[in-house]
Amino acid sequence: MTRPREDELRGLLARGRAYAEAGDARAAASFFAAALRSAGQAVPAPLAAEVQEARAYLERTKQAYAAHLERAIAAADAGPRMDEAFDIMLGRRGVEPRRVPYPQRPSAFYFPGLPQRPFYEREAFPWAARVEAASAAIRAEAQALLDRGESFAPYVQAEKNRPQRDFHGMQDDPSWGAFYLWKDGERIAENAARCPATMAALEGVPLTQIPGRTPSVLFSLLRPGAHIPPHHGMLNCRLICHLPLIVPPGCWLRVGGETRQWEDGKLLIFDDSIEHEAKNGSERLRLVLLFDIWRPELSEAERAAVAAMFTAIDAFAAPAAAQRDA
Amino acid sequence: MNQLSNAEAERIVRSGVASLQQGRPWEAAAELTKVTASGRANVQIWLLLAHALRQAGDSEEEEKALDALLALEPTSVRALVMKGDRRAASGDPRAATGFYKRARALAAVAEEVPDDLRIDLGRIEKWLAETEAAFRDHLEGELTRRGVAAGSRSPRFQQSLDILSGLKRPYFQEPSDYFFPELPQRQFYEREEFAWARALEAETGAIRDELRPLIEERDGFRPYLVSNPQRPPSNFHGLVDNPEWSSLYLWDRGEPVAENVARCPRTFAGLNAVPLAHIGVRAPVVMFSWLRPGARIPAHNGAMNARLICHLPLIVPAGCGFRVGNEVREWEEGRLLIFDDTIEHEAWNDSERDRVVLIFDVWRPELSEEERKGVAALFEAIDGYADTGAAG
Repeated sequence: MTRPREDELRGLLARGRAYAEAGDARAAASFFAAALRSAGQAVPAPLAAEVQEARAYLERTKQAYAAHLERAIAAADAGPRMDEAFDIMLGRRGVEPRRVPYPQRPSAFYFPGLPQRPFYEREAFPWAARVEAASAAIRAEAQALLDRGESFAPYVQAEKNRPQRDFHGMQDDPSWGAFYLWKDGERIAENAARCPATMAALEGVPLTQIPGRTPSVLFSLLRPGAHIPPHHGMLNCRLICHLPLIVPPGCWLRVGGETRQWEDGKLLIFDDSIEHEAKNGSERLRLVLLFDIWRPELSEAERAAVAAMFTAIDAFAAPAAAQRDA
Repeated sequence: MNQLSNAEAERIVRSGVASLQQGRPWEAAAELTKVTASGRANVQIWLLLAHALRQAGDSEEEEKALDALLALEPTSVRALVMKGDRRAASGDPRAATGFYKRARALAAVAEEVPDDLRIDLGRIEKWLAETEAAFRDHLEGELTRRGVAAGSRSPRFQQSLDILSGLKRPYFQEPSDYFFPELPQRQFYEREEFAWARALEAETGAIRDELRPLIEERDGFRPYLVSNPQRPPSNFHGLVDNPEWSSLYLWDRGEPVAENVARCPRTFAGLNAVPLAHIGVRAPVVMFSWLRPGARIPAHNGAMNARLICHLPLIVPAGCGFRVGNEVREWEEGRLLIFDDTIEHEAWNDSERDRVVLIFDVWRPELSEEERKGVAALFEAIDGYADTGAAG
């Protein structure tokens, strides 16, 4: 450290101490914090003890501060978003406290202006109770598929004529399997015919209708020990719904900063454009009915516009090829 | 699968290379295929075969060779370029774009790019630019044909298209002090969304009349940013203690400023019906904000996202501008601009006259009453925190 920087550090420490002695903890903390930033990694030996004291002071102050706020907030009782805000502020969510902790990062298309919410609550969707009420019948249909040894194809499959991009080793991995009733916007008649109660339960659900892309409705099977690594979905203009059908203990789904567990017959609804991962930590298989719905924030006109846009994208053909020898 | 000794394989490859160099690509392809069919070909041999097939004009077999090569080595830049060529020639520009972009990305981080490959990369760069332009035209045309013409789109859908085509990028809230989660990431709110807006706008003339003598006297204005001797020095782009950006407060530290309120009764009364954010000593802040000719407020982020900032433009010469996130708007006298100041924003007065707006902060409409109380309690607690005995 050069001499002027050492002098600067000495000055900041001295002012911090002066405010601490005068009982102005906030001013003291701000000078001590500036001192630590100024010192960085290279603390000059003569000041090492003072820097250590400054660090200890900041730590004590931080704890006292958190306890003080804790008391004030407990009285306010303002609900889960407020609690989350408070945790973020105190750095308890393990993320940079002043940003969207886990922003939407859809891989294909970003629709702006939407709330950044990992989970939505089932109570907010009028169709949810009806789907949940059909859980037993849906489970029976899924169980029949399992009993007959129906093949659940790997959920992640190589896409023809796209650069190979293995999804964290999940490609062609049977530990994450799928049995589709709708796939990429098309009803799979043969499979749907075998699950009439499931198909009936989904009537009236605002499935995302984007020709050639969505909805997909599938039984999603996670074998014992399977771990779907953190990833982002393609679009943020829909939400993913899970109706849990077979859920042994030890399974979980993390979306952004929040981890939830599947409970039989209770829908989990989440934004898959936020980083998420899942694990079956049990020794039995886990099965959910998975489908995608329009985000409630999108107007009818916006839904139609998004669908029209993807239809247009998929209809895009070659411009005059500017090639050497094609 | 044919058995082939190492020596035989090497001999066939040499012979194939010779055929290729002598302008007999179909013979080269036939020879090299013997090695690939034996299951012993490495990446280089597959690449030679693909080149031979391309020169021989057998697109179908060339693409198969490339697929086999990419299965062996997905990061082969040459193979990715050639595969992209095949897809482009087959009228599949989206697949071609995928392969070309992957090739470009890999080449960008490669230690060395041979000259011939550099030429190929230049060629695909041009193709990508042309294709992106063609794609935008196509998208515009198709959307219009499907009843989603430019003027009829919701602003956020239009913004999604601009982001999709790379013309804009998304911005997120990054408050400097306090983050309230799960809120919409909206740069601007529209004045029509607020029931109180119209009545306040109707007062613009009266408010401006109250402002004029204050400007002439100047005394009540002070630099917007002032230094605090009890905090380590920081200077925001030279604007601290600088009268280029000045303000006169009607509410400060959460309370009315009596002497200024006395001089601006209509302005003060006009705000009665506005849901000003009440957050301890932090808000509301209501002020006339005076930006001198040529002044610029560089890009920055506000302190907390529990509120929105409102500007009622009072004196606005031409040549002023205001950016929030990826959108630039202009102040228009008497028309409110309402925005989220925790999204990066900046302002400028490139005119030769003064610009003055009335600034105030309102609660975000998404916050429930309980949440507003929670935020207020939190900041009262924060600002009430002095010495709890931690000082040693």
